[in-house]
Amino acid sequence: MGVLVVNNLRKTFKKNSLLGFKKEEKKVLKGISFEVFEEIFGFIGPNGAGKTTTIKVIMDFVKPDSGEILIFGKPNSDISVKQNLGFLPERPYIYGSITGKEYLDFCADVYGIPYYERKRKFAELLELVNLTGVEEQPISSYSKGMVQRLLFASTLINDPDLLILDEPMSGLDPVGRNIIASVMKMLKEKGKAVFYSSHIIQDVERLSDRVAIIVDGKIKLLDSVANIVQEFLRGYVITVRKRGSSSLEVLKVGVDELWQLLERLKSEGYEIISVEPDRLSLEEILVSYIQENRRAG
Amino acid sequence: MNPFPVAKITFKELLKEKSFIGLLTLEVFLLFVSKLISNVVAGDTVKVAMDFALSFFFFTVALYSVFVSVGSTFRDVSDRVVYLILSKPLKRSDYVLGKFLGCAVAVAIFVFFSFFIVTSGILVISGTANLYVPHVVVVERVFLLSLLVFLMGVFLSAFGVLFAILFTSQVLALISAIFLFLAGLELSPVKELVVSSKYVSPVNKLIVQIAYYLFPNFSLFDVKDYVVHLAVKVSPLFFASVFIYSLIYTSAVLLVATYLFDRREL
Amino acid sequence: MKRLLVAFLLVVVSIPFMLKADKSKPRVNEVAPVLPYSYSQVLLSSPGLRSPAADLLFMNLCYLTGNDVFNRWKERKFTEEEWKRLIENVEVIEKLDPYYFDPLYYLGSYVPWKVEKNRELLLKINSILLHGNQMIKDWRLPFFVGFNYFYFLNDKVKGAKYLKIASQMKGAPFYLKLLVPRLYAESGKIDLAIAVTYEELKRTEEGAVKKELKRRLKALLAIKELDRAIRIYRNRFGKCPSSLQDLVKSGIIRAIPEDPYGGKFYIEKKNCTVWTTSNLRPVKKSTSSR
Ligand SMILES: Nc1ncnc2c1ncn2[C@@H]1O[C@H](COP(=O)(O)OP(=O)(O)O)[C@@H](O)[C@H]1O
Ligand SMILES: [Mg+2]
Repeated sequence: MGVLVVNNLRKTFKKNSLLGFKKEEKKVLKGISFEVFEEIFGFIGPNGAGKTTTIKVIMDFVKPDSGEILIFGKPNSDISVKQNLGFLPERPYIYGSITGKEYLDFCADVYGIPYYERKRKFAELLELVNLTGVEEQPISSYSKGMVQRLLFASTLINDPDLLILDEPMSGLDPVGRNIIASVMKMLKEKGKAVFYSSHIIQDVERLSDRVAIIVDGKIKLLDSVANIVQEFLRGYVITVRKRGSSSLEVLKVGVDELWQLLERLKSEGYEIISVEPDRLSLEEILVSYIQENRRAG
Repeated sequence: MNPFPVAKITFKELLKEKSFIGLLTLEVFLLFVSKLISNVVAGDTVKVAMDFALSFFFFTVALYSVFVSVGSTFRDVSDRVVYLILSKPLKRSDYVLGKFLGCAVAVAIFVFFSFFIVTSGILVISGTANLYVPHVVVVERVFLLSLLVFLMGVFLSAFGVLFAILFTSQVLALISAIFLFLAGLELSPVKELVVSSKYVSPVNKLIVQIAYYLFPNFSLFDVKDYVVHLAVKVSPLFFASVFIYSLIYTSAVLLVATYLFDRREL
Repeated sequence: MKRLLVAFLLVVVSIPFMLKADKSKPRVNEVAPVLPYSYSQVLLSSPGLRSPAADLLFMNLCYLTGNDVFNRWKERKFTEEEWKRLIENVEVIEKLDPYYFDPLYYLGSYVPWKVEKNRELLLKINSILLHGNQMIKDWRLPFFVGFNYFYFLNDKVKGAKYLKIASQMKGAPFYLKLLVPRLYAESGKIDLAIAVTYEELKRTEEGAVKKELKRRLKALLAIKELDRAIRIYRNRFGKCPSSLQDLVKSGIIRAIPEDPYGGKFYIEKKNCTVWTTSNLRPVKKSTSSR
């Protein structure tokens, strides 16, 4: 069984207008199911699709109308599962008046990390997100990216087996994104599970083992990145050069005809420069789902 | 149950807030105001200065407790700090309790500093006043008043946390807490006037009586007269009962706060 | 910089308009009236601020009285109605802060002189002072009450009663103790006067006072003796003796006793009682005062 199991989640937000008349209901999650194993799992979708709501339900901040969530095989309302969990909310914020070290101390207090271990541990974490040397300064003096990196690092303080990150990349510069991506990879190497949401597709494609695409509260696609790439392969683009000629020719070919064509080209005396897949990027896939949804709705 | 990490970080955050130093400075300023007012009156100027200084002290602590508890709890939710905290192995009741304890410690430190400011202020005022009959200031009594004012601050902090959870608007939460405080101060005099009045119907008298029993009674913490007038005597039993009363009532308020917070969607 | 200068100039330019407007502004009558305060209204509008409210009311009262004293409102003094309100305001102050002494002092020492003709108000003052005395154990409160009875209300017995209470309180000056028996004696309650003097004699430690009380007792006993003689004379002859000599002549007493204060005893014709020209005060040097 997966580290995180989400089963048929449904959530409706009721907006009570003033005086309680005219209750407006909004279905935000319409039966979400997926399972996360020891891997990097990307949760992608457009703004307002229900990513944050899903994560809030997983974290037990919001109760679902129906559905089941198991973390490490236990229901998510069991407080003990959080012992082994790391979580970074969307656009995270912490008091500006305290210092970075004071916040890390708070986290260490919660997990009961003894004082003699803290110095080494904090240094390690800060090193990981390239924040060494700022821990004694108040957080109000940090840039937005620094705060996000600090809070990301702090989620690792208990060495969690499952990391849940809501848009960890947004608001970061490329260097910051790289730092977080490499830490996520490192965690996966160690056999941990990372579940994260994002709308920055390039990172997801590069980083994730599997992705789920959520549009309008429904999962449209759930598969490994490799499979998705395969499935949405339209053909190949082959660049060749006739022996003796200096000009390149570009040929397009369907998936099934690749080998046939290559044999033919070889026999005809062509030199093959490159063979590249001609496929939809994750972004294009996402856009197509959104458009499809819009047409339907 | 582990409210202490939240308590610790809450209190660290609160002490670095501007409101802490700001209200203490205001208290010093109000001491000067008290002195100025007392100069206007004939007779025992020290009595008048103390009346005002201690009232200002009383209300500053009340304001501080309300601002700190409502503000800090409310900001946690609206600024999403609560997500960071609750993602850790802490129960929601731990959070509420921790928030309350953090505020209580902040109030304790605030009262501690205020005690020194107010005591030295009124000692200077009484030392420099020209009176035929000197007005004696008993510091122990100021200290006892400060203890009660601290209890009141703790009591109010519990209400502050509750209201910050209950209301979806910070201003509304603040105003309700302040009104609750003022109403709690009024209750005793209202009951005194209503019950002794010939013109109030028995039904209304009953309503006032019930309100008097159930509503938090903040006038209990107001023993300024005991400090100002040495002729007033107070039995230790009074202090013990006030302590137990505020302890029990505060626990009740916290229970309601945890109940509401457990059911709250964040 | 330029903008700041222009802003400043604009403010300056606005000044004449402000002055003009201020001059033509409608104004209420400048005379500050004495307002009647209601205890319940003041109490309810100042939660937790009973004492400062009392202080402010007293300040207001001092201010108004100051105006009256220094005749700030040239044409007019307080009316009797306003004095009545002032007295009632002191009552409100004392309800708000029952341990506040200064307003009672003001009420006892100053106000009676302003309402000396009004019996009702004087009695009201006395009742407020006595109520205050339940909380504030200060000898001056019963003293003022006694003084009012004695001086303004012409009730020497009640006056003596409260002065006696005052004289027995902590901090009361010793001459009060001498004053009380004299008031009793003057009012014709000679037995009471003697009893009070005895009592004081028992309690007093101070030598000078003791000596004074002994002299007083001697004089009082002499007066009592003479009174008794007059009673016998009246029983026998059915009329008041024309002088103390008559008592000696008729053989009721052997000689007219001497006034230890150096005065002379005589018969007050109106009530046919004995009194002395010394008024129970040393004739030559004066140590006690009235
Ligand atoms: N507390 C709430 N009350 C009502 N509607 C909400 C609430 N939270 C989110 N929503 C709605 O639910 C939808 C999904 O929001 P969210 O999960 O934040 O999307 P995203 O995928 O961008 O994180 C949005 O349309 C939002 O308006
Ligand atoms: Mg979101």
